[in-house]
Amino acid sequence: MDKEFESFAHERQQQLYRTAYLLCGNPDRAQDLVQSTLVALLKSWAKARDAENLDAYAKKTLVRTFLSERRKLRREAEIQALASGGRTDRAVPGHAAEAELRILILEALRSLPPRPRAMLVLRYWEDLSVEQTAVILGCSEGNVKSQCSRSLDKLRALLGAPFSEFAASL
Amino acid sequence: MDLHELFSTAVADLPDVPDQVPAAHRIHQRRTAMARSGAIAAACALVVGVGTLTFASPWSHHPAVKTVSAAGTPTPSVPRGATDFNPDKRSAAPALSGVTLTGTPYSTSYAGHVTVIEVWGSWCAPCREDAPDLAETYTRFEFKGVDFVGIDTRDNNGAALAYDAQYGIKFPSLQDPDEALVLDFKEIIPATSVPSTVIVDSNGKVAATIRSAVTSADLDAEIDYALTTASR
Repeated sequence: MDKEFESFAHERQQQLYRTAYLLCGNPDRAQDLVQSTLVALLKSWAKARDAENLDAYAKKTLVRTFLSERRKLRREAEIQALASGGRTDRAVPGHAAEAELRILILEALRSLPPRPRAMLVLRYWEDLSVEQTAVILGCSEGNVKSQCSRSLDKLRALLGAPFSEFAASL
Repeated sequence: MDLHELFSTAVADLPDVPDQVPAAHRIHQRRTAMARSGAIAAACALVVGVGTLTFASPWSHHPAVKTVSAAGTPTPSVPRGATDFNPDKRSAAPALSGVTLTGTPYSTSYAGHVTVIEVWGSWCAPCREDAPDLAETYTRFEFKGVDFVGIDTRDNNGAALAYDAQYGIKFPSLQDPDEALVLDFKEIIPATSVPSTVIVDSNGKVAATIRSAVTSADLDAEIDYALTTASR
């Protein structure tokens, strides 16, 4: 069991980390989320390994861990510091525009409530279908569709140009 | 730029997270041990309750306690993220055909030599860490007749060519702005898994996949595996 878990976790943790970062916007919390997710997976490994899609199970665990932790934390001054605080100084010279865009995206994401944000991340970062997203979040497909469409409108307003190109490509 | 790319931009410069697996194991083992000793403590309390006086800590030699002290971290024996396929259990690699970053048409001919397919993007931070090792590995295996080809996914050509020049990557890569090529490989590697590597044996079957960043040593081991084991 250890070996199976080991290889799955090693293979997947970076991808989980990136998804976690998009969900919470903070590298340290993202790391905690990955760790909590791996611990939760270990705990239910017997069940998880039999899950038809181990990957989807891991994503579900990550998103649910994120949402339940959000519920526990009443105010998080800490994530206010998000994009501006941590990462901008790491930007490679010449990538200034990219860094700016990144902050813009993270801030736009953060302006969404946790659940709609998780929906967008699952749909457009993890490329899951409406159906898979609905299963993970335990809601109806209609809910995913309407919520995503509202969130996209919001992002369109916040992101302007880079997003309009995306919208045009839809 | 689509939303996936916007998200990719947002995580592009994010450094890899330090390995969380050992910590996860430790926490899990600690919790399991605590749950067990909790149950034992309750059982002992019950025993004391019916009159057997066992004041000396009765569970000090119990395996549960040993679990705590033995909380170790097993080390994996295969390269991180790599999967080897037995020669008799290999599936055919999809044919790969497209246009290289420099605009030349390209099609894979898998027969008679090992092919290394690298899925990457200039936007992908782990790929950048990978790049020098990959460039170096290529120069060593090129002479052994191993073909390397990249799938430059969700990228733009200018950035990709600059990336190849920066890291001295000499093998061709195919343009894949809309993920069409990686999706051809979806039975083998998920399209969201970047970087990943597929190693195809001389009969056109998938010998190994690596779904994470690679070091030269890992890559060497996997290419050697494909070179030394042929499917039928």
